[in-house]
Amino acid sequence: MQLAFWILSFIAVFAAVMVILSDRPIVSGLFLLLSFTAISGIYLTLAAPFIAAMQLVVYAGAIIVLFLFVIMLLNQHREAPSKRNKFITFVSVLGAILIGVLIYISLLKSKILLSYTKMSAVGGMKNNVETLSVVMFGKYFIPFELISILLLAAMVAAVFLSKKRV
Amino acid sequence: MMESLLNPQTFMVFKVVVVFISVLTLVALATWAERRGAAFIQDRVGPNRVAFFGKIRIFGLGQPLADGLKLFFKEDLFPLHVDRVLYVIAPIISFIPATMTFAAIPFGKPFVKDGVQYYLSILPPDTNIGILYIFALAGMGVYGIIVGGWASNNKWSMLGAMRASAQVISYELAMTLAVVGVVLSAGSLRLDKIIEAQSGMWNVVPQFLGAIVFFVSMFAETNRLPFDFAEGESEIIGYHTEYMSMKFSMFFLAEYANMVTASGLFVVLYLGGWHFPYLDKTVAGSIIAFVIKLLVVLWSFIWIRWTLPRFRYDQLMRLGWKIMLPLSLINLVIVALFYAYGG
Repeated sequence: MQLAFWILSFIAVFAAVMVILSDRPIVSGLFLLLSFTAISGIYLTLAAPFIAAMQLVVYAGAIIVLFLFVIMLLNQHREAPSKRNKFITFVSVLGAILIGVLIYISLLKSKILLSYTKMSAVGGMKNNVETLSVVMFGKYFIPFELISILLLAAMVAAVFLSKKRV
Repeated sequence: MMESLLNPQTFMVFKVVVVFISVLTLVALATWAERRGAAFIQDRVGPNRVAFFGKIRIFGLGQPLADGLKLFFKEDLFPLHVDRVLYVIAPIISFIPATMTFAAIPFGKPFVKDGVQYYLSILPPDTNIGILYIFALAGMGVYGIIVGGWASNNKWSMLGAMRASAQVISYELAMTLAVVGVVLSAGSLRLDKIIEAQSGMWNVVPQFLGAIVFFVSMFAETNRLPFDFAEGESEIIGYHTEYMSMKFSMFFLAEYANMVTASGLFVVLYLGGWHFPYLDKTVAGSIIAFVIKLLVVLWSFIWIRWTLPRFRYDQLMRLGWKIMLPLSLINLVIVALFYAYGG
């Protein structure tokens, strides 16, 4: 399991970096797919097959297909090389690294790591669907419904904006 | 070491080997049945010339073997304008999920021997995600088509790829909603529980609407006529225009393996899996019942292909969003109301 975690996390990070580095949009999309798939594998090593399957169905299965569809619709084969100041590139890389380190430190200091015993309710090979649904539709019922209303509003807005005015 | 030959480890290996070989054999048989069936429906003879040792021609059953050999030994060229890496990866992306999805399907009655429970599906049903496993992997299959169409760098291939991506999204929604009804009635995502729940009556009777939606979406998901827009032989030739030899045959095998899995899933979800009166008393009988049902559904794929013409693209979208989706929602609401107030 340890080895699987290292391999999968290496693939996930490598693919995530390649999403940015690749200059062809469709290849970026496929690297994003690889990254999502590797993350789903990591969920499996954490004994959470339901979340792994959901990761594959929703993110890898549906969202990336939409991305690729839009990219193909735009028919963009290659991104135009951007002229960029080297100093700005250097500063932004430095800033990104700094932000990453700060997030890592704040994660170590926070209570999230201490509460892992509570989080493991979702894990475990048996009954994880039931446990998840009890948490989602019991304790967090109102936030869950609010999010679905938000999504509905977003959908209606998207349809309204893209509709041709007659 | 005096161990019984039947222990969980050897049984697992046995299952994997047997299922893999039988699915691929079924694929080969399906290609033969497709041609002979087409010929039968169109009042022709069909391929019947291939003979073993130049003598024995069993209705041309050697044809898939000969085709396989031909495709295997054909020269593998790279068209000049393709994206080489993606061009090679695409058939692999298409083929691997197609052969993996069958692993979750229980093809026979579980039995107990020496106090150990043996399940007749490769994936142990305890993992609790049975049906999601199939949907998760089946969703990966479309990337083979998309990547293949893109890498070919050919406008017809690309049209095929775009059609495939739009079509899969549209029909996956209706299909999943139809399956939610089944999951609701069984109270579990586990396929063996779903089969167990159908021991009295097959799901196709109470959830007739869901069964219809699933059946139609099944054709769209496997890119079969009347929804074979990704291929569309007579108009755009499709995503594998630029493919040849073994790479083409991997797409081909994936299509038929998907058909086998989809048939198996339809049998499990709506036709009671391995249940059949009198036949499911024994383990062997239950496997036979499952295989017979699977073959019937598989034949319906071929039957419908040579009966119906292809839809137009806007008709496909209208059918998916305006008819199939509402129908599956109605089915879901009926099932939910029944289990909330009636059951």
